[in-house]
Amino acid sequence: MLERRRNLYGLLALFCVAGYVWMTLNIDRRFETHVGPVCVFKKVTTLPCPSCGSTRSMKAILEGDLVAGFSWNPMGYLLLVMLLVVPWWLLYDLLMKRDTLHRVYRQAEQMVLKPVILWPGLLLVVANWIWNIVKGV
Amino acid sequence: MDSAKVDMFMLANAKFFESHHLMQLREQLLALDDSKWVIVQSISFYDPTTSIIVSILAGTLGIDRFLIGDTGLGIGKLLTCGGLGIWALVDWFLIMGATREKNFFKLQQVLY
Repeated sequence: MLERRRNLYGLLALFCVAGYVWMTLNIDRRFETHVGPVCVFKKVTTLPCPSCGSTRSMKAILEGDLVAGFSWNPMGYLLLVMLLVVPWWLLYDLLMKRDTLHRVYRQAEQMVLKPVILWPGLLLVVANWIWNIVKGV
Repeated sequence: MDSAKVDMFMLANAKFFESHHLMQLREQLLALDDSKWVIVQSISFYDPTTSIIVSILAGTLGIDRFLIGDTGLGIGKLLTCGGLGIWALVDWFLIMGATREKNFFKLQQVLY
């Protein structure tokens, strides 16, 4: 159990660092011309994947354009909230030697599998994907 | 538990587990009570070959992680275009091991 928690925290820390580096590369004008689309799914099939447009969405939200943020990809909001909350939560757990994040993560995993959440969630993801394809993100 | 039964189980299911877990599993099964044998036999394990195929075909959507019961990581992969493609690529090499670990964990839950 302890090893699984350590693995999860390590992974989350890695994702947070990667997320911040990725966003910095996209927002900072010095790097702007060097980063392009990286989605493998889009490169292979030429269709956008369900989360294509999230970076542009987060960028728009950070620039204050909330409507554009939503229309690029609503998932951008979710990712941005995670990027803002998870590092602090991780730090809190590490400093206070608690495992609140791990417990919430496991509970959320169980909760997501309940049919009441699973099916509407899947429907939303598919609907968002279709919207992405129609928009041509 | 009868050693012939255990050996037969190990022969039939060895491909579902990491090789370094096999000896430990054999000993645990030998020490297991006969009443739990039916439950052990009825567990369906995730096939590492299936997960690598799913990972190659739909890894960027996180379906491989959903398949082996890593729902949280599956959502993470889905939300980030397969971790900007890098995670999806890394998972081609990790997913078989992760599947075998999951199987081991699944069996451990029955054994205790």
